[in-house]
Parts: sequence; C-alpha cells; structure tokens
Amino acid sequence: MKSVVLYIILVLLFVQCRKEVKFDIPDSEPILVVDGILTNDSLMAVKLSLTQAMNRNQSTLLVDDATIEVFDKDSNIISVLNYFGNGSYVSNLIKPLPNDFYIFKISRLNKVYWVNDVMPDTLVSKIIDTTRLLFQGVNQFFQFKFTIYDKSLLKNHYGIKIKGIFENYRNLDTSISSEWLTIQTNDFILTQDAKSSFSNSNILFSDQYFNGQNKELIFGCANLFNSPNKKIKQLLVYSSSYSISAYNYFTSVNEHVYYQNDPFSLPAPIQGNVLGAYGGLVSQYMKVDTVRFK
Amino acid sequence: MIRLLFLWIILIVCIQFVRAQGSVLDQKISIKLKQATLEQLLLKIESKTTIKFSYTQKILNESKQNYNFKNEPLGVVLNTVLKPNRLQYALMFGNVIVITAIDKSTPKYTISGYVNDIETGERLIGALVYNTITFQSCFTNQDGYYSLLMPKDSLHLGVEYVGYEKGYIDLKLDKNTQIDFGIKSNLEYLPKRVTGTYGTGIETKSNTFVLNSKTIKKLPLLFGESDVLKSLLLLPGVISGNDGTTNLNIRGGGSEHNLILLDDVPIYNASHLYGFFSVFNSDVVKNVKLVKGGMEARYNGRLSSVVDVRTIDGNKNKLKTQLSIGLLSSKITFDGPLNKSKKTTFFAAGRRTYFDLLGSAFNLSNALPVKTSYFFYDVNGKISHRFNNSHQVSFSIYNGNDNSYVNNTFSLKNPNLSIKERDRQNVYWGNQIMSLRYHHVWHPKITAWFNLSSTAYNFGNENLYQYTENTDTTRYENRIENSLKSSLNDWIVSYNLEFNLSQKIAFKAGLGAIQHNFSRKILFEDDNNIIPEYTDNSIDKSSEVNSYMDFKYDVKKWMQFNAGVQLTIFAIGQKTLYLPQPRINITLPLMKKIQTNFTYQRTAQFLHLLTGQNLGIPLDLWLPSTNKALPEFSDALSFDLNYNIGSFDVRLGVFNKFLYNVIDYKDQSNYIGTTSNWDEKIEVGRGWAKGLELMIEKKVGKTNGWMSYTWSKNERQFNGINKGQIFPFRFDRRHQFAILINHQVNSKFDCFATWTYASGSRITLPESYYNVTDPRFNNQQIFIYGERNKYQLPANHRLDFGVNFKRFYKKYSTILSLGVYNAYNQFNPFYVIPSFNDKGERIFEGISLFPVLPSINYKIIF
Repeated sequence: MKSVVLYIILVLLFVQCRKEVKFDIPDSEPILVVDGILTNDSLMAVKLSLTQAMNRNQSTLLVDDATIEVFDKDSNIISVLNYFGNGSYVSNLIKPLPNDFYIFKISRLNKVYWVNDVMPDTLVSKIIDTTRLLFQGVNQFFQFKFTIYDKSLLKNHYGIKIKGIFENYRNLDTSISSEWLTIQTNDFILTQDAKSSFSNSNILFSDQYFNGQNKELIFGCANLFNSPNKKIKQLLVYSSSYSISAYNYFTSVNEHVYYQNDPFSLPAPIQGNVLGAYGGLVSQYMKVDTVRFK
Repeated sequence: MIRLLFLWIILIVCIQFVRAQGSVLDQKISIKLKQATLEQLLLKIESKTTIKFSYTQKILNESKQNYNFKNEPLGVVLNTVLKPNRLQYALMFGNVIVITAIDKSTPKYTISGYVNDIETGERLIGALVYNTITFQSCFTNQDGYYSLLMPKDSLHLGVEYVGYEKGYIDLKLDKNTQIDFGIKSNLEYLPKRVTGTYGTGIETKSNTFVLNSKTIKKLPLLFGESDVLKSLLLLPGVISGNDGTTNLNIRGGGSEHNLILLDDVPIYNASHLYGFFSVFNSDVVKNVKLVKGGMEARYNGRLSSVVDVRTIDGNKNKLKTQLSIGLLSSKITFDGPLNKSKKTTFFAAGRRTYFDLLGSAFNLSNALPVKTSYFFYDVNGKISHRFNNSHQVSFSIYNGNDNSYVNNTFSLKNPNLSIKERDRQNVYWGNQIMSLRYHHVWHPKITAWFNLSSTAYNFGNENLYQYTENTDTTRYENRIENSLKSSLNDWIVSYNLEFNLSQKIAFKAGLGAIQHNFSRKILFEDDNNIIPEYTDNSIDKSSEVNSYMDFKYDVKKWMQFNAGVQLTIFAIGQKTLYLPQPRINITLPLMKKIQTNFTYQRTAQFLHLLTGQNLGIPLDLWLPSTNKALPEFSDALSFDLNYNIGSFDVRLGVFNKFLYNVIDYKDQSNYIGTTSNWDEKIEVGRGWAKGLELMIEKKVGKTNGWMSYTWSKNERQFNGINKGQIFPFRFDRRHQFAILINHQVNSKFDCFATWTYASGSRITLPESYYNVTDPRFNNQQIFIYGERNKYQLPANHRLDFGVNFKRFYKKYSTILSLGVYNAYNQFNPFYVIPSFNDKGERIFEGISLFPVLPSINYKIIF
C-alpha cells in the first residue's frame, strides 16, 4: 500500500502528458532514394524509391521507370539491370568481384544520377572459440572469440552482425524464425571506434588498432537459452569488410537512426554516395560463419 | 561675516530639532512660476505653506527662470533650486528654513562605515545612505560598505533598504568619521522610494535587477522551494528555456553565456535535477544581482549577463536554526556567532532530495519495474571573521552533486554453489567551490578585497560489474569496470580596489588570473584479462590574466558617466590573444522624472560549452578556445528609460547584440562523451539579437510586484549549418510576458501569484522520410530534416500561486507554504517526437513534463 501511495505521488509529479502538436509542414517534392549493396557472390541489385512528405500517410513510393547501367573502370558498359518489381533492379549474371571498380548510371525522368564504388578485398575471418557464460545463475550468454586477419598498409573497415535462427513452439505447431541479435561486448576494438556506439546489432569498426596484424575479438549475445517456447538452432555471424563509402554510409545511417529517436539531439544527415539523391549504393565483402545448436 | 557666523551657530544649536524635518520637508507642493527670481519662488512657497525662510538677499541670484513643480516634496524642491546656486539650507524650530551660502573653503571629510541588520549583524548590500538635508547619497557595496565625502557640517544621515525600517543618525562631521548603521528588519515595511530618487546615487537601472534576502523569501515556489534563478525568468530580457527549467537566455545569449557567481566565484553548472532546481539555497542567499547589460569592467569571462549571488555571513548575535521540510527535499541551516566577541560568525546549510530514501523506505524498488534512483544534495558553509571595521576575512565552501544510478544485485547460495553478482551504473555531476576572501578598508575612501578561490565542475559515468562464483572446489571471479570522468577545475586569484576619489568621482581597478585545468579519465579494466586494460588520462591547461579599470563620474542628479575597460590575455598554444573589452554606461535625465541610460559593452568568453542535450546539463563539457574555435566575443548596445509615476516604476528599454565566434554542432555531429577533436564537430559562426523590454514595477504597499514584457529576435549564422543561411536561435521566443503579484495580508499571512506567457521555442523537424530496405536496418525509416529551428512549438503559459502561513511563538516561528504550479493544467510541450495516432497516421506528439503540481513546505525557525 505504501508503495502504491508513493508511486501515485511520483506519477503525479512526473507524469508525462502527451498530446498531438500540429505543425504546418509543406509538401516536399519527392526525391529519388537509391538503396543498394554490392555483395560478393550476389547479383548486383538496386532498389529505387521516392521520399515521402511527413504529413502524408501512404505506402512506399517505388520507382519502376528508371534505367540502370553499370560500367567498369574503363567506362565500358558491363550490364543493364532489369526491373524485377517492387522497385528492384537486378543484373542478369554479373556479380561484383573483390577490388573491382563499378560505375552506375541511373536515368529517370530526364535526370541522370551517377554513383561509383570499389569492391573491398576478400575477408579472412573465423570463429576460434565459443563459450556459454553464467549470467544471474543462468546459462544465458553465448560468447564468441573471433579472429579477423587484417591486411596491412590498407585502411580497412569491418562490420559484425549476428542473426539468430530460432525454432518456435506453440501448442503442437513448430515454426522457424530469424532475427538480428543485439551484440554485447566490452572489447576495446569494437567499442572504441566512436561510430560503433550507434548500433549494437550492426557493429562497425575500423582497423585503427590492428596495426596490420590479426586481432582476436570477443563478443556475444544474451538471453538465447531461457525461453521455453523458443529454441535457438543456429547463429549466423556475418563479418564484412566494407568500402569506405559503405562504412561512411552505414555508420551515418546508424548514427542518424540513433539520434532521430532522441528528441534533444540534432539530426545527423546520411552520408550517401549518390549525388542528387538519397540513400547509397555501396559495396561489401561478406562472409558468414555458422554455429549450430542441437 | 558676523551674520554668517551667527547663522552658523544657530544652525548647530538647533540641529537636534532636525529630526522633525522629515515630515515638514516631505510635504508635497505644486508651484508654477514663469520668469521669476529665486526670492519670488521662496515667497511663493511661504504663501503656500507654514514655512518661513531666513536669508540675506545678497546671496540670492537675481536672474529669472521658469519653475514648475508638481506634487514634489519640499525637500526635493529646495534641493533642486538651491544647490545650483551654491546655497544650502537647514530647518529650525520646526518651520523656519535658514538659507546660507556654501563656503567654498569649508573642508570636506569622509564619512564611511557599514550598514547592518540590527538583529543579525548581517551587512546589507545596496542600502541607500543619504544626507537628509542635501540628499547627497550613495549605496553600500558588496561588503555593505559606504563612503560619502561631505563638507564639515552637522549631519542628519538616513539609511533605507527594502524590507527594513528607515534609520537615522545625527553627528557633527569635523574629521573623517566611521559610522555603522543598524536597521531593523520589517517585512511589512517598504520605503516609499528606495533607489534612484535621492542625490546622484544611481543603483537601479533597467539593465540591473536586485533581489535581497527579504524579497527572495517572497518569491514564487516550485516544489515548495523558492528559486532565485526561476524568479529571474520573470524579468524582461530574460528568455526562458524549456518549461520549468532554470535555463536563462538573456538578451540574445545562450545559457552558457551567463556569468553566474557565488560569492565572486564562477559556478559552471547552476542547476540540479536536469535544470529544474537551481543550486542556490534561498535560506543562505543574501543578495542576487542580475546585470543584463552595461556590465562593470570587473566582470569577465561570459558574453551576456552576470548573476551575482552573495551568501550571508551568519547571525552575529545568536545561533539560529532553520529546518525546512518539503515534498521532494528538506534542508537545514544553522548560522550564528562562533565566539563571545561576536567577531566570528558562521553558517552551514545542507539540502537533499529524498526520492531514493523514500524509495527504500516504501520498498519502491519492488513496485517499480526498474531499480533506478536519483538524488541531489548541496552543502554551503562560510566562516567570517571581522578583525575590526577595516579588516574582514571569510572562507566559504559549496559542494553540490547530482547522482543517478542503477543498481542490480543477485545472489544464490546452496550447499554446492554460491554466486554473487552486482551490476551498478552511476552517472553523477556537480560543482565544488572554495573561496577565501579578504576585505580591507585601506582608507575611508579606499576599500579593497583579495580573492583566492577554486571552482570545479565534474561529471562522470561509471559502470561496474562484479561476479563471484564459488563451488566446493573452484572459485571464479570477474570484475569489469569502465568509467569516464571529465572535470574542469579553475584556480582564481584576484585583487580589487575601489577608490572614491571625491563625492562625484569613483575609480575601480583590479588584477586577476585564472588557471583552467581540464581533465579526462577513461578507464577500462577487466580482472579476467579478456579485455585489454585501457586508460586515458589527459589534462589540458589554459590560463588567462585579466585586469580592469572602471571610472565613474556623477555629473549631477541622475547624470552619471561610467567608462571602463577589461583587458584579458589568453594563451592558445603558442599564440597569445589580447582582448580589450571597453564598457560605457551613461545615465542622463531626459525630463523631470525620466532617467535615460545608454550602455555599450564588449565582452569575451574563452570557454566554449558543448552539451549533449538541451534537457539538462549532466553532459556539459566546458572546453578552452582553440585556434579553430577562437574566443567568443560580443558587442551589445542598450538604451533604457526609467520613469517614476507615484508608486510605480516604469522601465522601457531596447537592446541590440552582436555575437561573434559562437559555436554550434555541425549537422552531422553530436556530443558523444569525448573531448578528442571536439572542434571538428562544431561550426563557428555569428549571432544577432535585438529586442524591446518593458517593466512596470510596484514596490510600495502591501500589494506589490511587477509586470514585464519582452519582444526579441535572436538569430544565428554558420557556414556549415543550414547551407549558410541565417536561422533562429533555439530559444528565439518572440514574445514573453510575466506578471508577479505579492500580497501581504498581515504579518502572518501572505500570498503570491505569477502568470507567464512565452512564444514557443524553435525546433528542427523532419519534413519527409524514406525507408532503408536493407535488412540490416530492419526497414528503418529515415527522416529528412528541414532547416535548423524552422518550426515553432506552441506558446507556453501557466499560472502559479502560493500562500505562506506564519506563526510566531515565544521561542520559535513556523512557516507553512502551500503552492500550486501550473494551476490550470496547461499543456506546455517540453519536446516533440514523431509518432502515430490511433488511426495509424503520422503525427507529431508533444510531451509535457509538468501538469498541475501542488506543493507543500513546512519551515521551523528557532
């Protein structure tokens, strides 16, 4: 009872009153959004859409009337992407190769947008150990020791993501689901890069502390084993090396998302690489390591 | 000559009757004469009153002029017409006024001393001391000291101070004399006119506002606490920050541009609880002075304004205890003499919130989902010793901290296994001040004070995780600790002189130095050696040397010229900057009752403030100027009119301010808790502000208060922000209006009400958005923001009121204070976030922190 009384007092004192506030925001002209990541062993794919006014409530405006041409570093055309619906344009056979330079020409409504990027070099990495740790008396924390083999003399940028594949039980039904997991780490390399603080499900870092050597990283995920209706089956560790454009784009998106949810912070614009349009068309070399659970 | 001597003797003999003259000379008369001699004027006065004049005709000037007095006290009329003719007067036998010529050869002597509260011995700042016959006057300085240069004469001196009864002293001045006044506190008593009326002493200007300990106790309450900084928000030219906070944006400056002094020592973060409480405990505040413009040259280091807070010295006569219990906090104050000689006094005060203690008492951690807690405390203390009337030394301290923490513990014990686990996160910030002040009267005309002080502001974030596991055969321990500690510690030394060269000319000068020490400590530790240990201890230093001179010349009544310059030398790396900052303040009479005031000031600021959020200040980071972020400086002009209509003072002012080298974050940057390369994250630009201020104040009577209105425009421009276009400052509130009414029903009951209105603050909003379809961003919506501060929040307004019930008993007294904040529950959005309504449509949702809030406070004084 005492707690309830005090709780009511505190609520009275610091209750947040919420109400709609109207602003006269003008309709802004839709601007092209380019959304594409060139990945090794995948066909080149780009998704085009348009920005929408804040005061409009409509589904995503997809672009189906554009032409996308791909050139190599000698300006020779190597592919014209085909429209596959849902705003997506995909190459026929061409897959991006490590260290190759690509130029994209996007033409739409008499406007031309140019964008280019260099595919990063191959990435050598592997899981060297895994451990289950006790947390509050329960085996809840799954920790990786992971090594990245850094190439000296080059400024490299990396990223780590973990996807969990779960088996879900509901009555007699069993289903499979996947989700990107929150990565927990105190590893100096993963946390010291200022940009790494903006997302803990998509950790980005540079090789500033590698000194051209191999580095062991320690990170993990919590709460994997404590749900009776959900069982972890696989953990997919996505490690990537990024082009500088990709690193800048992804970190700025992380930072932007981080701050746009904070009403007291200033907006952080996206560092895209498409002149005259939003979004980015950037490249990564990605590798997936899998841990399977019985 | 014989006649003159005769008159002189009569004057001296009869001076003891002068006590009665106050009433005779206070009688009001109206006279209008065209092209009349002085003698004709005196005859006219005789015909209208019972007064008789005695004079020799030859001393009267026969030139003719126009005389026009309407409802003026006789004393003021005589002073106005006789002084320019080098004549003086004295009242005898109750209704005879003897007029004599002022003898040029009459020697002059200095009369000086202190004005004290007769009950507590507290020295009073800004009290008016005046000659009741000639109305020659001055105000006590920050040490309660006054000094007047007067001709050899028998004097009837008066002293007046808001909240005190008038005091008088008779004396014969034939040598330099030291006289201390003791006046009696009377909260019901408000002198009819306190400032700016008599003689040439001009204290109250539109640019300056003073609150003393008596008026502070009548200020509005929030959460049962009267707050001096919040009360300043009711003044014109002081634009409020977010609703309910103590954020002061004065005449175009930001909150970081205010020099907030506690007993002459700058305080870097003057608020608790994310800006909702000021750090000043009203029980120990003696005097608060806000200077919005026309700063004296001695003030240095901030662009916009000065908030000069002085604490009490302590009761000289008896030990006094004040215990105050409020809804959210309690405080206790002791003050009194430390020895029988009463030369040494002290005060000690402490205040603490008790969210956390109540939480423990009520076992709140089980009722609330998150085990978090918050508290703040502050302690003030001072010891003052008066060696004699010429030497006084005081040592004061302040320590205030805010602490917010999350503490989780877990333990498990069974026969084979025991586990202990602790996870604690702690965020704290606060100020620490120490000050040693030595005040010395070199000569009745010369006073000096020496100040050696230290001020520190620090904030930190500590995370500690401890895990211990014991089995029958094994023991496993892990401890992970990381912390960020950032602090600014200043050492300040200064020596200041005040020299009253003559009654009209005063001179001030000073020399000082400040050493700024900025430190940052980052620590990562892990006992298990899994994570490499990392520490960073970086300390930066910068120093400044400052000196000033200030010259004041009282030309005649209501005409004063004040000019000064502050010269600061600041070192940035190998480069040394010399920054002269001239200040000019001219006061002129425009018409009979209108006083005009023109000021120009250049100010410089060597420290920049980076703050992580506009809500509060826990992440405030003060940093020295660099070669890129050069010292900020500003030029400010203001023109004011003061007009007195009966009980009302009307002040009208305009100002124009130019700010240079001000900083703001680049669009893509934000505070991330690190000082490294901070100047690459900011833009350096300019600012402009202009405005009009109006204040109507009633100081007289049981019902008193003021009304204020400000129209202002405040803009900024940075090359790298908003495409280089000018944009409004975040707190560019076009209109702000406030009204404060105090009513003293009787000695046991008083009440107040305030109503404030302010145009909405500025905000940057997203105008459009798109989706990132890459799965790594979970189809995240990305907002595209419009121009910086393009949109405006709805206007804020609210009504607060409160009542004080006082009870006086034989050995103690009590005060019960009841208050209501935001009485009609106005929705004043604190911030806005994009959201969705029930129909799934995108909207902007405002969040208000303060609905109607009742408060209660009980105080016992013994």
